[in-house]
Amino acid sequence: MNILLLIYMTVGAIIGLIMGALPGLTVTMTIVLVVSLTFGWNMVDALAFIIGAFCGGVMGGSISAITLNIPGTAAAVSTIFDGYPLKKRGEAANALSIALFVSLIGGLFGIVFLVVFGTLLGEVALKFGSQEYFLITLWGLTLIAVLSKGNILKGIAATCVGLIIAMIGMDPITGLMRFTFGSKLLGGGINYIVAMIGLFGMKEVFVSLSSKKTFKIENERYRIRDLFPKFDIIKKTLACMTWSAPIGAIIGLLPGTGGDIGSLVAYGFTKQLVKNPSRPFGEGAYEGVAAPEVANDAAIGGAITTMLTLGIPGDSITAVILGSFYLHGILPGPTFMMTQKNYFYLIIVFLLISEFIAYFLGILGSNVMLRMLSLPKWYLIPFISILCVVGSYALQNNIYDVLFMLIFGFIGYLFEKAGFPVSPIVLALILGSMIETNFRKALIITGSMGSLLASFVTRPLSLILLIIIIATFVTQSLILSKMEKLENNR
Amino acid sequence: MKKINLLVLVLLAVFVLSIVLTGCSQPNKEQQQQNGASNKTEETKVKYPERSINAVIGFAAGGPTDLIGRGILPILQEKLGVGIGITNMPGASSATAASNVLSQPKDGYTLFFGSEIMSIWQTMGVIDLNPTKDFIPIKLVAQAIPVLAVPPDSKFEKAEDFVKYAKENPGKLRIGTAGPGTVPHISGLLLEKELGCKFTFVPFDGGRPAVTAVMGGQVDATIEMVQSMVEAYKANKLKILASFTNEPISGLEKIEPIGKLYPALSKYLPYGPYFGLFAAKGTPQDVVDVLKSAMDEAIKDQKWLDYCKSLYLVPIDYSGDEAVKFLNDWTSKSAWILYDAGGAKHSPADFGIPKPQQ
Repeated sequence: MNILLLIYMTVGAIIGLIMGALPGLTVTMTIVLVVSLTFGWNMVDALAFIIGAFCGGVMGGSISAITLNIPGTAAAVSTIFDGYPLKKRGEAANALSIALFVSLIGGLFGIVFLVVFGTLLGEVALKFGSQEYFLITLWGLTLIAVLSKGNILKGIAATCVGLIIAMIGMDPITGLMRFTFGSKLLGGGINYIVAMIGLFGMKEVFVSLSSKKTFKIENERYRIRDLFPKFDIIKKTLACMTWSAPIGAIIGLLPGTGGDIGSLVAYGFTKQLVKNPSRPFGEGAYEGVAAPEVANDAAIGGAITTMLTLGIPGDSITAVILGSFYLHGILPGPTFMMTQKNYFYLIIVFLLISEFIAYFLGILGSNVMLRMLSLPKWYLIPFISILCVVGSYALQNNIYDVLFMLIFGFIGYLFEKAGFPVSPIVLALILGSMIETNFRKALIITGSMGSLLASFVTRPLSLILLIIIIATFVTQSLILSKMEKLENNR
Repeated sequence: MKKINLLVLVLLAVFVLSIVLTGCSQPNKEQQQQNGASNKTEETKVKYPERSINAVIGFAAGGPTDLIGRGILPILQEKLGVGIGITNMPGASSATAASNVLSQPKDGYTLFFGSEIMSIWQTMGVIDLNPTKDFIPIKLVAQAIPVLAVPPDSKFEKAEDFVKYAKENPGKLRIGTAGPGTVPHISGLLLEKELGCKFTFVPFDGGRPAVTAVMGGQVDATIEMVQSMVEAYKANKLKILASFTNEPISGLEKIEPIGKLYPALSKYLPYGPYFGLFAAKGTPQDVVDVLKSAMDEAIKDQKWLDYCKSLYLVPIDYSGDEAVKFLNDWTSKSAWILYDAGGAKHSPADFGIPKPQQ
């Protein structure tokens, strides 16, 4: 019996890792697949399978982010910022070893979080209103400073392009169509994962086709031992884990935001708090890989906490898991911890075991991926193109998404050639609609602009976030000007 | 030179793959012709189903439509004896999924699991499709029940207090909904129209965030389906003032049906979203009959009834003309309430949707 459960978790984790690593096949889709597969099973077996796939999927997303510059899942976007530069420097194995190891740590932290604070913190999620969501996502935009790679004007320009693209489609407040030019294709808006695959993955294909350099790093050598954590590297990232893990768990806790936002915020915090990174952020800082990876795995625990204690999914993945609970006739809610104690403990045990299974499978998977990278360019490029096409199609089973993906790939290519960074576009696409709808909702709720501005100061959580935002702008611009002075003096 | 070759190679690979992908979703032509031929010559029942069926759901997995689809379709699969694959095609209020289903051969191998959102496509200007003119309802299987809930520390204990306050302070009360044009929104508009009060609607991105908002007191009330509130209600994390029905909900008799409190509303009630299986218009009648009789059995299955009970869904059984009548009725009610409240893009009259009978 127990052996069977272990096998279910392992198989789940394998499926999760593979699908998580493939761009476009999101963790949410993995869970959908697993849930429909286990429909007729009993709840315990199904749960083992689902949780295995969940942990594996989150782990898998970072593998392709680092090695192929395509985030396997949205939660791995921020892993790209420093993970891919590391790979370009020939440190793919190091980057992967950090990513996998801190994922494990983050995952374990999330579980502890669930057990210790589960019932208490569930309530915190309810305190977050539109004002708070607006401020968090607005703060996320400060990340463009680091993503712009030196040229802040170009970064802001790219962000604006992203924000405009985020507005395409049906207006979430009134239901009217915007920027669709009467076309039905644009009515549903641009899915940011499609844009992401195009801007990162397909762009990479176009870029490498147009350059004479080979795609792979020449003579990269690694041993499987390199995939296990190295003490000196991990030591450097310890500090950033101390805040990234709670950030991830708390953002995972909030309904509607999951590992994607959590890892972005953790990356942003790390960028501000770590004054002397191993390398400048965006050029392959170890901290820049560790922070988002800790956060997106810690978010698992957070999201499950909200699901179990409030009956509200913390993100899109737990929404599907909640669905499977319903299918099996269990309705999680505020009384779940009391009435269904056995399921609560089962979930914790499954999560613990699955994290470890996913970790070791992740090492094996990265090994395979790194081997593939040493293939010649003419094998790799078609392979990546196929991944991009399949991924963007599979997302919503919509062939026009493939078209959009190709267009974004081309846009990404043009941007890169013109020296504009592409990451701010993706950042703006992820955050744009949340910033907009939450601001407008807050405006409707408070009734007028004046009372909305007042509510930012009178709501305690808003006030804290507001102070953080102001502090960010003040400190960052001071540091910026100091750095400029230093350079001028030289 | 080599560079160009490589570029051509990749573009070709992408192109071929795209074609293969579209090809996959279309059954091959020959089979279709064979089906057509056997139709004519034998004139008896078509051999249906011969292979697995694809059911398309226009919402993401985990949402109410998906949950209900995944509840009934596996049972239908048992009754039919062939596999039913479920494809989630979210986006544009299910319009993407619907147009995809209509673009497939009308042979009953691609079905649409639809919901009430179909009724507002035309008036909201999403897509010019109508649930009865462009689709054949095979079976409507369930209806969900919207309820009006307030935060746990709200000063309102009864629906009457709530309505009274709303009348005295027009626009003061903020009601969270699942988005513009959704059932909770229309239910709120219904209160405005028939009871003469005025609310401020706060559209959330789906039902669950709206429930979170009411539990945390971010809004004064939320209208949402009872199943996503029931656990919080039992744990006193929110108060449910009334259900949008004429009769009490079985199992939750304490909740007052709003139709009893305000008889003016009763002709619109029960007002809840419907869910059902649809085939594209033009699907052979024999195929529809096979599906319908399998569906007849499926909805009587104990598993399905238990499922409905656990989710507080009202199992319904409408097919054929009855379903068409139900749908047209529902469409005209919702479309005109939306239009009269100024929330619609087009007039329902433009699409030949009649005003609801008084």
